[in-house]
Amino acid sequence: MTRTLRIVTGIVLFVFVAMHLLNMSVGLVSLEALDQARPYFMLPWRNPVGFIVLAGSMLIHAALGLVAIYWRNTLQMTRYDLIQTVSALLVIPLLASHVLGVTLAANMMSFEPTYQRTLTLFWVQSPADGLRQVLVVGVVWIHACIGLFTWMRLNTWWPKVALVAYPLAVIIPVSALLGFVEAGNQVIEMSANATAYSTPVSSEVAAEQAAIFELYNTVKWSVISTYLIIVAAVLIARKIRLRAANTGMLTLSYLTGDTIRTEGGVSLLEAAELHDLPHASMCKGRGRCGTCRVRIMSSSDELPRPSQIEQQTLERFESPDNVRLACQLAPTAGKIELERLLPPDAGLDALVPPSKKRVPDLGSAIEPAT
Amino acid sequence: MSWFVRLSCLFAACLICFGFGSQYVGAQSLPQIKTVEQTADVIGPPSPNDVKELIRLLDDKRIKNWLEKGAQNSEESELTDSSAIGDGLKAQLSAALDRTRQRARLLQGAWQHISDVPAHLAREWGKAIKPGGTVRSMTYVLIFLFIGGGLEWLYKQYTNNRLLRLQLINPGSLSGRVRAALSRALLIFGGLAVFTIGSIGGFLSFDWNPFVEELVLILLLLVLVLRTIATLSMFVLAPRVRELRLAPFENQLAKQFHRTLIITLSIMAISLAVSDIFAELAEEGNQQSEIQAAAFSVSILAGLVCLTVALLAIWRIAGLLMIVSDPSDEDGHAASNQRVFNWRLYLSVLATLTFVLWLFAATDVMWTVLILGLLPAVLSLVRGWVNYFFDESENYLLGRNQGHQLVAEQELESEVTEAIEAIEVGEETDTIPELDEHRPFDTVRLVTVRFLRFVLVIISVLTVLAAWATDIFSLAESPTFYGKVISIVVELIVAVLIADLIWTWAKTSIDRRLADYKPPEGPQAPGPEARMATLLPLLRVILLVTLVVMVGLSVLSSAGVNIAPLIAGAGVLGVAIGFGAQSLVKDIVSGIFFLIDDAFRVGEYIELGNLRGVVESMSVRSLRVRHHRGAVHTIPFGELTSLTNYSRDWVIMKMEFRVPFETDIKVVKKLVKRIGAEMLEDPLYKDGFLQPLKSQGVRRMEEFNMVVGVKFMAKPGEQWVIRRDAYQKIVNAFEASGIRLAERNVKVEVISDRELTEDEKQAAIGAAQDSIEQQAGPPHPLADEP
Ligand code: FES
Repeated sequence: MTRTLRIVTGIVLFVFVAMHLLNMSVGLVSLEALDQARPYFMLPWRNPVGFIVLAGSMLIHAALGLVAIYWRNTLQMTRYDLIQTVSALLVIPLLASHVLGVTLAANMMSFEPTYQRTLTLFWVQSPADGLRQVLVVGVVWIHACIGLFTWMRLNTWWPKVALVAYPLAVIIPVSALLGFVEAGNQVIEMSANATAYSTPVSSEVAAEQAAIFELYNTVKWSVISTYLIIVAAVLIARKIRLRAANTGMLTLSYLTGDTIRTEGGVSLLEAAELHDLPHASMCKGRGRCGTCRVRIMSSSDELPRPSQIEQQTLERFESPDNVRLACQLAPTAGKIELERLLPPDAGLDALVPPSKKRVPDLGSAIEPAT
Repeated sequence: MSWFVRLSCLFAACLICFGFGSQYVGAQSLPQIKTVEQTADVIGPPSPNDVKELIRLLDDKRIKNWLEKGAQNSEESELTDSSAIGDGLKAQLSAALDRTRQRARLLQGAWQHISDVPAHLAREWGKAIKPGGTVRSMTYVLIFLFIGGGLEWLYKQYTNNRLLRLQLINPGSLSGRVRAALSRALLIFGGLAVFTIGSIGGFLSFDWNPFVEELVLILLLLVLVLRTIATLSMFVLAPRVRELRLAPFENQLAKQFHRTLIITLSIMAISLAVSDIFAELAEEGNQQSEIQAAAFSVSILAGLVCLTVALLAIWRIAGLLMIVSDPSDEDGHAASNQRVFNWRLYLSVLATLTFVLWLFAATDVMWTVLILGLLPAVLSLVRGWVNYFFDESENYLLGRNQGHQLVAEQELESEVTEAIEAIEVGEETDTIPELDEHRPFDTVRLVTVRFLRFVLVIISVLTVLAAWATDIFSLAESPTFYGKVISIVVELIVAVLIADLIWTWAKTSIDRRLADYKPPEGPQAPGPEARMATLLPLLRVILLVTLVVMVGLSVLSSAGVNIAPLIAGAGVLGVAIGFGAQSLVKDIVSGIFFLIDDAFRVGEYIELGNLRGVVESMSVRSLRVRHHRGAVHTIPFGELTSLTNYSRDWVIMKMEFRVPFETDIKVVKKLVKRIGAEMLEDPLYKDGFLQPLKSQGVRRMEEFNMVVGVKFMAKPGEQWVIRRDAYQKIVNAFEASGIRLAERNVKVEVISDRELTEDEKQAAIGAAQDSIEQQAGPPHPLADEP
């Protein structure tokens, strides 16, 4: 359930970001074209339904992420998880000002946030904001692509889609950024010419603007600080939860001769990756692919029971009892002897359960992840 | 872990630090001086009209000719000027002193205005760049880095699998490891290239204000340089993949090493880039002395940062290497720590000295000190590395030959320790490690070390020279005293090093072959090596003499001595000797060719024209053959035209038995077969046989009997004993089974009815005597038919 929700909300957000970036890349043509294209790209999101879906997705996705952090046993994680977590945490503080600014401008001031205005802000009036935008594009896009690709990679249609998806994943942000630079250069030039004969703004308008700017600032800072408080609360709650479960040292001996000693509470997959031991993990530890299966030869302590997700995946492969998913099994302490069942470079057909191996049509053989 | 390997890594780290740092430092010091000189005469740009006039004048033929002539004249006068040795030296010295004095003044100025530096720089910065421009440049940097990164990511999606596979295979042999590491580096460098194209290419495709362009480019280049260094370090250290590592470290150490290296170099590169940016700014600005001084203080600061970081890195790496020492062997531990300690001190002093010299603008001295100081470090690093490589390969070969299937872990560890021990041995004695068949790469190893040393020495000499004189080659060409000295020194060094290289190679391979040669024991025939053993020492001496003479001659010729008469004299002498010793030379040369043909060996039975016998010994000139009856022939090789060797590979022996016509050939065959089988079993002969004894059936019919052939094939030298015993056994067997060997008998038929008396019988026999004798006749040789 949570996984489906996470994926669905993630896809909604991804579509929005992609459209926004595509719009931005029109900037390579000219500033005017950029603004002309804007209504078409923003069409689905400017109506109430679209707006609610978008805002809801945003909130749900963020909340799910925080819940996941709460449930983490350690903050030591694989590189993949680290990138995802850090980028996710960064998004809101970086993006808040832009989102709030645009929404406030559109809804309260009846002041269309055209690209020309926004870009003038980003390139001329407050270049630091421009820098932040570039940063946030990178962060959001990396997070989105990693998440999306890991989800898609488990499907049989992936090899075909990948042919298009990989180049697209690069072309979209690159052209958007280039559009940002090109349009920015135009804006800089325009403003350099404009300052010479700009008309002074009347004092009432100026006062109104100042008031709105104040409002915007307070809203912005309260959003950011609320967010920070929530994150801190989650971390503290997690600490309290972990206080109860005391962890010791964990020793993993692989049949290949490698031995890992690490602090308990990490999953076997994380332990392996943190110690540079290559380990197959197609879904990057989401418990869906089953490529990280290990056979437990012996264990000094009792191992935690498989979770529901793990149980399902293991059943799909009809695995015996001593086979577990390395990404889901996170023993707190003890000595374990184990063996990796799949080679680290396992390919797509590692996803096919052995009972269905002989079915000629590979496509139907794979059950959708539950 | 051995101190040596650890040391070598220390050096590697420092090398990179120094090389990198000093390059920048050197680059930095030049613009400083230049700009100071420029402040003296600031002249505005010429007016457009002036320029037009100049262009018109330049097109004029006459002006052109005049200019060319002038140029030639000035060149000539320069040449004559510089030949005045004393003047040149003095001028150079005073120029250097001047430079130092100027630098000191600049330093003083910088020190006095130190508090104003930030203000100056900020003002200048504001002038060079529009408001908001700084942040905007950062935005640009970020954007273009992101673009490069995106393209690289795309590249990675297509190469990742290959990379993963490279990291997963266990190459085992060292060459395999090097190959895998190389292909990995290549893949990663491909990504880096894509990144470069994406970021820098993307940036350059827009138009920028010059200073912004400079700024962003410097920053992008900085990222690129750092990534390149990281990739190189990864190539050697492979911090995550032990199988691809080219240095003998454990995972943990490799990782720490890698990290230290990267952090150090990043800090250095960043500080140098910052100082570069400000130097650029100072040049952009209108050449005011305060700005110069401010930029100079920034560059001093950067230099200080670099020095500190370099020192920290040296100490940290030395610390790392000391920690991992093996506590089990206390003595070696202490000694190795002492060595690490010494090198640490040495390198620290070197770094500090370099910095101080740079500070006082003694660039040429700085370069000399730096390069000559680093040379020993680099040399021992290279030696250690080469030794490590060869040891690894040898151990791998050994392991494979003996079929030792150890667990991968153990294998690697033992390899490493062995390698380290070997390195230690090699380092302490610096001679050829004991020659035995376990070291298949000895010659190559020694030659490689020498060769690398040769290259390094040449490079450092050239670099030092280049630091002193801007154009070393033209200086060496010029007929001044310095030019002469330089060219002689360079030629001397090159000649000696090349000769040394050749000599090392020849000597090790000759010594190795000599050591490999073991005189054969017992009856076994010695191989062609035996003669080699006599020839090789001679060859070695000839080579040595030739090399010494050649080096001497080339030095003499470069010193300006005319060596043509010497060569001519040697030529005349050579011709005279050549005529006198013509036959001697012929003997030696043809001896070499007989040797190459492997026509005979000591102990073989040969036939030379009408001489036969066993080869007893060989000298450089002649061959000694002993006839089986004891006579000894000595034959110069030059006399040999053709030669028959009876002791090669196999011999076929044929035997014949005469049996009466009524003998059952089947029985004979069976008997021979049985005896053949018996003899093949017998430990006495079985090694001698190549093909067993076989009966060939009836070979021919004779007057009173038939001839049964028997043959066998044996190793040369063994055939006699076998034949002897075979005869005996066959005769015994014939007797046992009732086969009589045919005997010559003469029937005398007397046509008469009556009994002959004794006398008459005697008379008849007597009458037949003649024919008996006639038939027996002198024995004639058997026709030798197959
Ligand atoms: S990594 Fe996919 S199930 Fe564990």
